[in-house]
Amino acid sequence: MQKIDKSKILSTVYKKWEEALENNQEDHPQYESTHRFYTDVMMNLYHIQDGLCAYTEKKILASAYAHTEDNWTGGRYKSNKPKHFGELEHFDSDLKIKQAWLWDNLFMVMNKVNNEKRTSQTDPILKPDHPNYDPYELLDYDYDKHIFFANVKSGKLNQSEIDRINNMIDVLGLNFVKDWRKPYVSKRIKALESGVELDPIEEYITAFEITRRNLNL
Amino acid sequence: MYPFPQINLSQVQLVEINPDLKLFYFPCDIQLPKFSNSDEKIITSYVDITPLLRIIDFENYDINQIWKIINEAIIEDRELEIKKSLEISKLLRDRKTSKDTIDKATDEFRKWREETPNPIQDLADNYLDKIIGRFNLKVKTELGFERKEDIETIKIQQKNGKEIPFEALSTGTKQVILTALPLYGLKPKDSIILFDEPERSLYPDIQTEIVDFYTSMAENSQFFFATHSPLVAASFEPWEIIELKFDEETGNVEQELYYDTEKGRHIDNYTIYPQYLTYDGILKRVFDMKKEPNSLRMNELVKLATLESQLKHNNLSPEAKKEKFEEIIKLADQLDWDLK
Repeated sequence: MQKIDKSKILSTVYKKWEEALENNQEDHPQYESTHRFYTDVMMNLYHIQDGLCAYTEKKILASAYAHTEDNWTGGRYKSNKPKHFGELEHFDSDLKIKQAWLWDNLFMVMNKVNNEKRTSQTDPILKPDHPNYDPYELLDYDYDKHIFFANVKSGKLNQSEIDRINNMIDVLGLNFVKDWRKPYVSKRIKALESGVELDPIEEYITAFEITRRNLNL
Repeated sequence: MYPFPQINLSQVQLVEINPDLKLFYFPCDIQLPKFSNSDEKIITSYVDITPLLRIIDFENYDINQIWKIINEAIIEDRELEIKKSLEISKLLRDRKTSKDTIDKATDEFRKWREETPNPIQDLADNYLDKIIGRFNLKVKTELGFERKEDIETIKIQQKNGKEIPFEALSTGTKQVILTALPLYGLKPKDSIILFDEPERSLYPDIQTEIVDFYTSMAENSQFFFATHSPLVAASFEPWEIIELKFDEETGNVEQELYYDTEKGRHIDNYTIYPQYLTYDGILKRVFDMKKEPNSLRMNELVKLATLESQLKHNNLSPEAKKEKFEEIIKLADQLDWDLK
C-alpha cells in the first residue's frame, strides 16, 4: 500500500463544496453513486492513485484514463466515465453517515476488496494518506508467501503495533490480491536478478520495492 | 476428441456424410432405474432433429430396457458357446477323429473366446470394474441362466461375492453404472455425446479418470463435457476447452475470450494448460479462485511470516528463540506450509 498524496485537486468545484460543508459543520448529503460529484471524486482519486487500488495496488483503471487532465473543465470532470474495476471506499465507514463526502476519508479500491472489507475496526495506523504512514517502515513483504506483514526487522514496533498493523492488513485486504501479485512481482525480481530490463513497473510497487531491498538487488 | 466450437444444432446438421449420426445426452441427474416390464422401444426418449440426426436423451430412461440389449448379447454369446462346446464334444466322441483335428478345434474355440469375450465379462473387466472396484465392488459375471432373475438386470456384488441391491449403492456408483450401461449397450459410433457434470457424487480420484473412462466406450465419437470440477477440467487440453462465464454488465453467460498480447487482439482459443497445473493452480487459473480459501488461513500466514521475521532479525534470548522456533514449526505444519 503506497503512501498517497491527496493534495492535487482537479475536482475543485467538489472540493470547495466539501470544505464549505466542513467549515459550517453541516451534515453531508447522503452517499449515493448518482450524486453529482461522484464521478468527479472518483476520477480525481484515480488521477492521484495512478489508476491503482489504494490498498492492494492492483490496476483498476488504465493509466491513460487516470492521467489525462484534458477531461477536466472548470473543476469538473467532463468526459464519459471509463470502464473501471473500482469502487469509492470510505476508509472509516462510521463517517459515511454524516461525512459521506469527506475528501480525506475517500479512496478508490478494487470491487472485491471493498466487498470483503469489514465495516469496523479501521485503524489510522495503516491509512495511505496519513502523515505518519510510511509503508517501508510499517510493512514487510514475505517473498515466499507473497504476503504483507508488520515490519519487525528494525525492532521499533511494539507487539501492540505489530498486532494493529497485521489486523489492518486483513481489514484492508492487502493480501487479497496475493495470486495476482505473485507472478507480477516474481517476474520483475527475476528480471532484476537476470539483468533483463522490463517496462516501468505499474502495479504492486510496494511489494516489489520491499522485496528488492530485502534481497539487496 | 475433436475441436468443435459450439453445441449448435445447425452445425450438427452439416454432418451429412453419416446417416447413422446420433447425439447422446447424459444429464447430471440421471434418474434412478424404473424396474418396469414394459415392452416399449429400447430408447424411450428420443427426438429426430433432422432425418439425419437423432437425439437420444437419457434424462428419463429405463435401465431394464438398456439391459435387455446387453442381456440379448449375453444369451446369444452363451448359446454360441454351448454350440461350439457341443461340436467339440461330438468330435471327441467320434473315435475316427484325429488328435490334430481335436487340437485344431480346441485351438479355434480358445481363439474365438479370446477374440470374442463374453459381454458381461467384457463389461466388467474392461470397463465397470475399473471404477467400481475402488469401492470394493464388481459386476457379477457368474450368471446361472437357471432362473429368469439371474439375468434380469445387472448385478453388483462385493469382491467377496456378496450381492448388493442396486438401491443400496452410493449415488456416484449408480451414476457411473447408469451412464456406462447405455454406452456399452448401444456402442455409439460416429456420434456426438453430451455429458452434464460427469463428476457428480464421485470421489476426487475417480473424477480424474472419468473422462477417459467414458470416452473409451465410444468409437470415433465427439464428447462434450460440462463441468464445474477442477479435477475433470484437468483432463483436457487448452483447445478442447470453452470457458463460459457471466458477463458482469449484461448478466448473460458468454464464452470467455482471451487477449493475445502478441497478436494484439482477443482470441477464442483457451490459453491455460490445465494438464500442466496442480489442482490448486486449476482452481486459481481456471475457476478464478485467486485468493486464499478464507481469511483465517491468510491471517495465520501473516502470523507465520511475522514470527519467521522476528526469529531471523530480532535479538532474542536462546529460550525465546527456541519458543519462537517451536511456534513456527507447529504453525507451519497446521498450514501445510513448507518451511525454507
